[in-house]
Amino acid sequence: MSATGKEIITVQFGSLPNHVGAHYFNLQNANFSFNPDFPSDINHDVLFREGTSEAGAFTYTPRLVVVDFEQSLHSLSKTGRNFVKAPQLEDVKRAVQSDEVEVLRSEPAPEKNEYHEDVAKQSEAADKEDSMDVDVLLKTKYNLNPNSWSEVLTLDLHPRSLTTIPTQLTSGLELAKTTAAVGGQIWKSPSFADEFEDNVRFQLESCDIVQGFHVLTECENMYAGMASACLEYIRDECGKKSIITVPIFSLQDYEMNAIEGRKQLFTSLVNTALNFSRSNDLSDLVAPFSTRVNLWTDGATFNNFNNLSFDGYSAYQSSSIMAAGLELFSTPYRLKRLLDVKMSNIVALLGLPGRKFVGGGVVFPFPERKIDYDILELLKRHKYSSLCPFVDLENTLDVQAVTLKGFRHEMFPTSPALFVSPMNVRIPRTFPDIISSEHDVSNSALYYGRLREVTALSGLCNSREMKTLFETLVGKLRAHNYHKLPGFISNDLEAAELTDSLETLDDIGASYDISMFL
Amino acid sequence: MAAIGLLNPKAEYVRTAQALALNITAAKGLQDVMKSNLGPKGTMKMLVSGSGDIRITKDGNILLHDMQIQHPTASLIARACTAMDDVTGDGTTSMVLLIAELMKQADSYLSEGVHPRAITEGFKIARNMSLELLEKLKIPVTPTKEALLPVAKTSLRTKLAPKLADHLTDICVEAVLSIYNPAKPENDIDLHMVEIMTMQHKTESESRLVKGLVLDHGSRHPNMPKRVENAYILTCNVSLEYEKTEVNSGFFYNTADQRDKMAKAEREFIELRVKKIIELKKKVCNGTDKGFVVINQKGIDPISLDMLAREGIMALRRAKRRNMERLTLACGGVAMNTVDDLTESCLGYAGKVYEHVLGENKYTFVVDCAKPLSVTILINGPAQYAVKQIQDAIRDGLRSVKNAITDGAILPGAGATELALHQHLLKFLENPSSATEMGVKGRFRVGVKAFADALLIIPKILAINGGHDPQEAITELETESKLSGSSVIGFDINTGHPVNTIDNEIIDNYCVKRQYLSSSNIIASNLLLVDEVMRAGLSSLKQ
Repeated sequence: MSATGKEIITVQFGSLPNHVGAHYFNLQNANFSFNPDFPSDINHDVLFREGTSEAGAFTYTPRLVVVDFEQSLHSLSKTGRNFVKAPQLEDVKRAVQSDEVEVLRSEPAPEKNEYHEDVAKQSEAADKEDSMDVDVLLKTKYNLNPNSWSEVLTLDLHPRSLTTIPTQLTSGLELAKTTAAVGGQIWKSPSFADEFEDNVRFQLESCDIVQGFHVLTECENMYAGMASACLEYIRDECGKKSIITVPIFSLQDYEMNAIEGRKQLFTSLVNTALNFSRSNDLSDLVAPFSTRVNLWTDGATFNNFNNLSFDGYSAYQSSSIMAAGLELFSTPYRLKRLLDVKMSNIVALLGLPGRKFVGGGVVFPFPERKIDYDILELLKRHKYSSLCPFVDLENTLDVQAVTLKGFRHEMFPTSPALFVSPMNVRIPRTFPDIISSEHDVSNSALYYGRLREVTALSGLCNSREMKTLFETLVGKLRAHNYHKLPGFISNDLEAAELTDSLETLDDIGASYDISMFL
Repeated sequence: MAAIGLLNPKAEYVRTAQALALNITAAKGLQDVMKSNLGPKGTMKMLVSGSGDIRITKDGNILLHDMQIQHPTASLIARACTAMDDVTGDGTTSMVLLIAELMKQADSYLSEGVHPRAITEGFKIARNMSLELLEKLKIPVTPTKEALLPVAKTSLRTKLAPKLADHLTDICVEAVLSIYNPAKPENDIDLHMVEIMTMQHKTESESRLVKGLVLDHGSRHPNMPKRVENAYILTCNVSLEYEKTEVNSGFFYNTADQRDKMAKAEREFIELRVKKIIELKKKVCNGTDKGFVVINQKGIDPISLDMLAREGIMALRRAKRRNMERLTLACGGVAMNTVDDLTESCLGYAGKVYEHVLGENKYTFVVDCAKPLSVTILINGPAQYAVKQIQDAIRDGLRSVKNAITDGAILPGAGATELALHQHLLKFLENPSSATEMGVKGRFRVGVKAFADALLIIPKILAINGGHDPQEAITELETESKLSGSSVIGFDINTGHPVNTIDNEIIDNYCVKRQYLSSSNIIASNLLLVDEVMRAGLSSLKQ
């Protein structure tokens, strides 16, 4: 139980957001410092809760509620741990007081990846009496090719963090083609809703005063509808707490020529439109994320983020960059040094009237080791790479909240929009190998766990360029004759509802107009 | 060549005999998987997932959900059967068995050249007759404990080990009877008013019924009383948590000083709410030995908790939405949405409110209520999977008791109903007037015969699962039933001999039987009439 009362609860809908979340909490995990000489400047109690496990051991697990298909959890068991051994048949027989138990195995146990094999070896070694420094067994970096986000996790989750969508609700669904209305129906079914509500309540109950929520969601399929319903629920239960919604776009391409492809594109557009207009009503800030420069077109162009070489189509690699972005953007309200800064301050700083949508930009890693110029010069020299599609964030940033990691804050004048932390970003072991080694600033003298470290700069910006995103979305939608699409109408989406949200989006887009900004 | 082949060369299809074979194989396959579940002697299944989670079950419904069925026909049957469970809470396994058996019986006639339509028409006649007979077979019950105990016992014994089942029988019946209110229209029983709370102990202790409410959280202040007796309960949905000011965009204040003032005003606003609650507490409790408990659906921040603790008030925050309704039913009082006009009449009452800590989980018991219309079943188990198994079984047990009350009637179990129907249908076919008077033309008779024979699958499988010889059992049953002329002769799984099911307290739900007879007939008929199966467009039936 933290005394500060600044807890944040993260809610994630869908595999890609869960992938981002896995990297995000890995980054937190890597940041834990057990060396009193190098205390972390992040207040970890914001994102983590203390507890005791069933066995009575101390646990420190993310304040997190994950939503995904049952089958997507892959290696992660309902206990929140990876690669759990099933209990012995004899124990089971005793527990259920039955002599005869027939074992049915639905699928073979997934194979461990390189990282998890080493973890298993390490814990084996640690069990031995004459164990040496066991950390040596683990490598600094593992470039994985995971089947699911769960394989990337370097920490355990709390069992109450997992909300799975029961298989009977999802059988026969093709996720990419599902509509927000389907998500809304799943949300309402008692077998899902009760569990989700219980899990959120559990996380809420273990907080002193929640400062807000991070809601990460896929916005192009049914999760759009679930996230909207979730936002409604949070608003209802928790009133005026800050909510930052992060809609995440799919990394896959559409086949533009095939009819199927066009249908799917249209589904994506409608879901996104509905999600955007609901998020706008219900959240305090909305920061759309994607590693792509453009969406809804032939052939993907991925942002190259200046110094990174990565495969954009890989959820594992793309999500790691988004996670790094989220880590940086969320730093200000987690700093130990600035106890009074909360999510609401960032919201107040960035929220211009009618303009809740903000673009996130990063310089990750930050290419220079020394800074001998002032902050304005710094921002001029190092332009952000944008995490928001269609928005380049190079100029015309009307307001921004800047985070700089790896430099002393005394070097810069105090400003309510500038947050400097002397700690480098410590890169977890399962983070993909996409950062060139020349940026690694880890110092063996300051060694407290062998990990890569980089410096980084980020800005959450309210830019008038956001207008492009809305114009493209609305333009593409209007180009379709959506009144004639039976797929949506039959799934109880009224054409009127879509027209409404289009108007909302028009309004949002208009408020980014230069003339609106005084 | 099927027409679809012309339009879409990629389409896969099977026709007539092949299509039928496809459907029958699927149904048979499901039957093979499910048949070992039926009855109290069915085997327990342990489902192991790839990630090492296990689930213990004997419930056909859960198995069908968890088995990730790929075959399209099988998944159609599975979905129909699980829908059955959604409606009535039982009968999934029986339904799978009956559908498959109907198709098997039909198959032998089809291979002799009978048209499927003749068989399905026969099914329809047989079903209508069966449903008519059910009305005669059903035995009325009154909602008393003695009458309902056998119903719950039969249901639970098919899901759990006998010792455990017998223990829970009493709990299920008591629970439903406490929330049952005969005065209410349509005998409407809301099972949501029975809360099911689970606790996992390392050492096993017994599950029990709590006549009151158990909440899954506790007070979050070290100085709050952990135990209150003679307690007034205030149920409310009012935020007692300081939140940021409504307007944060900087228009309404110019200086930091002004902002602080606004924040302070907001704080005072919350404080005022807390003070109102304290005021009420003082009014009703001062000078008496009564305690005061606040249960709030919204949050309460540490400062407010502190104020309440100083007054000796126990406060719980973030109660489940549904518990707000349950609380007022269990303790009386009204759920308040504002603290403006609180009076004593808004308050509920409980004899004892206390906290119980188990590992990192806290539980709050609200018990000794005057006349609780909402109760809690507390499940204790040594491991998560054991708790889950009991939870599933209790849910079914509650449903069966509820069904018995709403039907106002029951049917004999242990295959007795099926046997009686079988005999009745055969008698009808033997009767020479059936062909003329009832209008059952010759070719439909095979359908009726097939239906009658298929019904025997239930006692047969019961016998097999009990380790007896099915043929022997069926013959004995038929003789006994003919000799005695009784319609309640069923199969005793322990002795392997016929037995009077009512005397032996083996009881089934009327609505379950009714539902499964009519639905299985429809599904089987539809599948029999299929003469072409094609797959086109969908790249894969998996998602």
